[in-house]
Amino acid sequence: MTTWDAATLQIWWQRLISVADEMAAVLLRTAFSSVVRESNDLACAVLTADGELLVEYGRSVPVFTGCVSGTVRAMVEHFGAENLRPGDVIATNDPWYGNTHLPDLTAATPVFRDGRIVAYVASICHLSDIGGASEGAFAQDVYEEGFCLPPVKLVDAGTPNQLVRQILARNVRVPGQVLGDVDALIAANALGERRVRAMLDSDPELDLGTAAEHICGVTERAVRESIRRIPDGRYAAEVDLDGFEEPKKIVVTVEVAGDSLVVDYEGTSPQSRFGINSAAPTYGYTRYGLACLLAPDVPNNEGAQRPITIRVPKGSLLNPDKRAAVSANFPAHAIPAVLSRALLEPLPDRVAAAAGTPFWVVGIRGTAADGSFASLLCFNGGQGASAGQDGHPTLSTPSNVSNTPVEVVESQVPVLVESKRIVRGSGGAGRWRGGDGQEITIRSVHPDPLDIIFLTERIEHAAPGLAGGQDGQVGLLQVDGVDVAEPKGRTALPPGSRILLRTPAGGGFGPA
Amino acid sequence: MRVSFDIGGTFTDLVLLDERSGRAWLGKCLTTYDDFSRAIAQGIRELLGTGDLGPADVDHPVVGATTLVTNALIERRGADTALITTRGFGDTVEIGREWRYDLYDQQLQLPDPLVPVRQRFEVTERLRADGAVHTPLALDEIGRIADRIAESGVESVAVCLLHSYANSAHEEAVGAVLAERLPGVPVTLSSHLVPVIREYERTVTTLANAYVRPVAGEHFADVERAIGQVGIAQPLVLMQSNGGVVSTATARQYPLRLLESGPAAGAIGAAYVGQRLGLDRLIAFDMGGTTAKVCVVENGTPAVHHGFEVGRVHRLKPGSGLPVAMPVVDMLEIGAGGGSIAALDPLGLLKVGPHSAGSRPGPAGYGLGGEQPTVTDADLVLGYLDPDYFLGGRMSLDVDAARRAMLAHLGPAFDDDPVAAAAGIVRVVDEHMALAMRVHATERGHDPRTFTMLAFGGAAPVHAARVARILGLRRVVIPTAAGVLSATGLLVAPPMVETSRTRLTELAQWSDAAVAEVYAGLVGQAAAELAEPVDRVERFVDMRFVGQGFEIEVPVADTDGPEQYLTRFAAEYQRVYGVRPDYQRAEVVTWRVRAYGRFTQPELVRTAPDTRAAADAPRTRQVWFPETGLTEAPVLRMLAQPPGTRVVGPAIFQLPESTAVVGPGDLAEVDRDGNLHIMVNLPSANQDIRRSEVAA
Repeated sequence: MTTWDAATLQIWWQRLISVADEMAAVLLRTAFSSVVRESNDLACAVLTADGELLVEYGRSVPVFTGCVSGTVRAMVEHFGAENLRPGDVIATNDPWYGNTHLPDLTAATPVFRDGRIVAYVASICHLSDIGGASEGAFAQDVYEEGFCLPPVKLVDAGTPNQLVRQILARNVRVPGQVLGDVDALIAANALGERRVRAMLDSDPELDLGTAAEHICGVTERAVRESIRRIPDGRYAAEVDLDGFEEPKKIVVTVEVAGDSLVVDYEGTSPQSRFGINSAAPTYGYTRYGLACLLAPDVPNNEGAQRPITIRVPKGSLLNPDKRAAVSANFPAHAIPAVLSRALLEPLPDRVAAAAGTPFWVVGIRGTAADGSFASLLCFNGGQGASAGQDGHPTLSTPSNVSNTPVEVVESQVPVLVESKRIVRGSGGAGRWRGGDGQEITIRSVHPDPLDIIFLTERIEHAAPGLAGGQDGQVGLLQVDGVDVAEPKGRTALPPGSRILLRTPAGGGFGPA
Repeated sequence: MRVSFDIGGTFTDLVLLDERSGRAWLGKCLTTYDDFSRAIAQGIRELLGTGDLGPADVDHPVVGATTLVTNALIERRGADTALITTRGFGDTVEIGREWRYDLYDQQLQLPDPLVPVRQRFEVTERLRADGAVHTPLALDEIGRIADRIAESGVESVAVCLLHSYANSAHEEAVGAVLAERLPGVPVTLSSHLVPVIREYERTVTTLANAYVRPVAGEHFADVERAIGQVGIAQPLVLMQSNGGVVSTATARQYPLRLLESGPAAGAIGAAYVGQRLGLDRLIAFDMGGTTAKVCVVENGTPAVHHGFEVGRVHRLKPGSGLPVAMPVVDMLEIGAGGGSIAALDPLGLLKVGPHSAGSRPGPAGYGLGGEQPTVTDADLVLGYLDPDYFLGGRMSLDVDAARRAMLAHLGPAFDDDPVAAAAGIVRVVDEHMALAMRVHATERGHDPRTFTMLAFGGAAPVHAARVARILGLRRVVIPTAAGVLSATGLLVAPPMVETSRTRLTELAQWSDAAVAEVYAGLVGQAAAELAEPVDRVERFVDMRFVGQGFEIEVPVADTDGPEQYLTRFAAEYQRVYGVRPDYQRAEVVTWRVRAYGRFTQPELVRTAPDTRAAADAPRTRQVWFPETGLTEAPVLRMLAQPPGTRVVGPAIFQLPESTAVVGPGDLAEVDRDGNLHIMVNLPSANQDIRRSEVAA
């Protein structure tokens, strides 16, 4: 029996976190997808034998660690835990199984000890391509959006599943890179599985289930204590977004009763005909937003979820039907800000004004002499201000994706980034100023038209200030000086043409 | 006769070596912050006096390491600096990489840029990724910028233009105009300092060099003057972060290469000791007051990494500092030192560090007003440290104050038992260091169990044997000069300069002529910076499969062609990642050479004997181990033990600057050079730890 004193718990917790961190190092270094290796669009986690989140890689994209548990559980239910064998790697990119959207692939590996599953390790990354309309918001159902892989054994008892690899490769634009990404996920999980087993070998008396009870238990108590300090009551807020075919609204009510709370999105706009709906990310971003507000110092795990119930009306933007397109699930990125807005009164020192979210994406695809190229570039807006601190300019919030260095962009795709500047003064005014956005100009130097996909938000609806702070400046998207009619659309960019992007700035906090 | 010094944050260490006899004299004096040269002059005079020698006996260049460059950067005491960038990119240094190092902290702190907006100047010019000129340089603009820089009283200038790693012509033209218009103002060109891809990291690196350049120049001049005052007619050479020494002329131009000179010297010292002992796989473990440093040494050479972070603003968190793309001994820094504070976090977990009590007020046991329990306090309560003999007897410690601190801050979690609380602190900090070492080693494809640990610095010998047990590592060596290993390392480091350049080259596009040209350029630059004849050159390339974003460094031979490059890369890839993928296309991203000057490594045998120790009577004291609880253990003076001394733990060996703790069942032995070897009692040790946890 292990004695769980203050030192022992700290030691095992930290060991588990380091497993997730090490997995991420492998994934990051061996992946081919530029959003993974340059922008860090990935997550790694260790889960319990029941598929509950135990620890996450510290720099994970928050929506992934909010979704990973649901996806792994759905996959295990699909196969039946009794049908999993040592050396299996199961994977899916299917939103019906709790995955975020098709371009992200979730891969999980069971960890066996004495013939029994004692844990899962899981990795998620954004693939180099997934066929179909991929990143765009303009698809009208999930079938148009790309290739869907229901739960499969990518590796079956140590043997790679060649059929799945062949089918996947034939359905994507850059097969070599996509299979490289798949290999990176497998390698990360293999390392995680070895590490967890070595941990158990070093202390045969350690029971991971008991460790998880302790880890999730203290987390749950801390979160409940934090909720208890909020006076019982209903706290409501809403936020407006550009949407696609029409503006959209997210409405939230947080109902606090004792040491638990219910988040209810009743009143949120109905689902879109296009790909801006959010299924699983609704839950991921709700959990993340609450973690920032309730227990920012506590490492995230299943314990933090237990005091929280999430209700999302069916058929809404945040809980669409199964056919709905969900690739550009960007509205979900506004969830942490709307939760902050709702909880301003009880948590004035923890909330933040809205950020100029989400990060903007420019997908660039085409064909050159040496093959196809496909690259996703991310550009962040300004951070929202909070009590006591101005928002930082150009900082990824609430997601966490880096930019791709201009020198790397230009060595991979035939464009010239002509400028990349902070838009001074664009952040919302206030006692504390919102973070400024940035302006980027990109010119095509390709002899043929480039296939461009835009994903933007807050061109019409600004990131609102909070507690009397002003809104941040809205974004701007132009091609050759003309506003882009479909700022979540796809376009053929003629040779020599210039794109101008101005990312939205963050809201201010408190009256100026 | 050779002399070296290492200017550290608290102490300046010195070593005087007589090569003929192998005899060395070690010195330590407080670093004199008002004038660093004073401590050096005084220290050298004292050493010469002890050895009955004169300044004329010193017949080799004086070798130095210094913490000043790092301090100037961290404490922001550098020059008023201007930055010149490609038009449209003056904000690169502020935009950074746009990510958050802490996901949940809504009030994240980020380091301020080293240059304010008004001192960033943009110039019209543009290169393509392959180095081709897209927009020619607008030379007339430079003159106007120079005028504005002159008016503003800027002391140093950094130039970083896009894609200058591929073509340095524009930066050089800017540099030429500035040199003419701004005489006396040093100009740092990114294409000379660090011609590698990724503009944010390159810009910050170039800026940081410009920022510390004037301060570093004055500092080196002070030290040179001190050496002259002592009467030594030898030049000064300096240790770089990559483990090679270089002339002061080159160090003045590129002071950023000295950022980690002290720690690098420590790693070189450790590598030297390992080599003498015939150990080809070492983990060098240095633990001081605020942090522990770890470096992997294979075949006598510390691993070198090409980038690190300086001045992390938040709890040593990766991402909260300034990235510096410079070659540096691949050192893991852990927020765990003797001064690290232990506390219960809001969840009731015992956390140790990264906050440190420093040297003032310091641990509670210092009696200088510190009230929070630290690692040193725990070591004291457990009997590892002698309260009457700390830092070579320069200081005594207060055990009762340490116990009171345990009770006051950790009592409730440990049944008000100060020994249990202290044991908890030591378990957490040892585990923390072991975990960090394991990750560091395994990320580089190493199994730490196959390594020997070499422990030095004030606190590492106290914790090394226990950390080794956790790692499953069999042997620990505590070198006889454990207290001044950095200054020792300086004496055995060869002159060496490293130059590199990004030139993306897919192996399929290999051209012998182009490759030869790249290497010739790199060797030419290295030779100029070395300022002495090149004795030998090592070649390295950073490679990846086409489409990946991270490279791994691969050593290559002069005679290698593209097939050998691919074979070596694939083998290294397999070693690091454990997989050997079947990808066909690989590319070289960065080319690199290390050029060495001629150098004969001196023999270091044994330091002057510890005369105080000989008279000591055998003693024992109460020491706590997880396997035994409090038990009586013998205390021996390490330097007074004759070669061949063997002791089975528990035992304590007292060193001049530290204490070696030998656990129950461990076998300690003194070798012919006076080094202490501890054979860790592994298999039963693991059993014992578990039993005690059950009992606790």
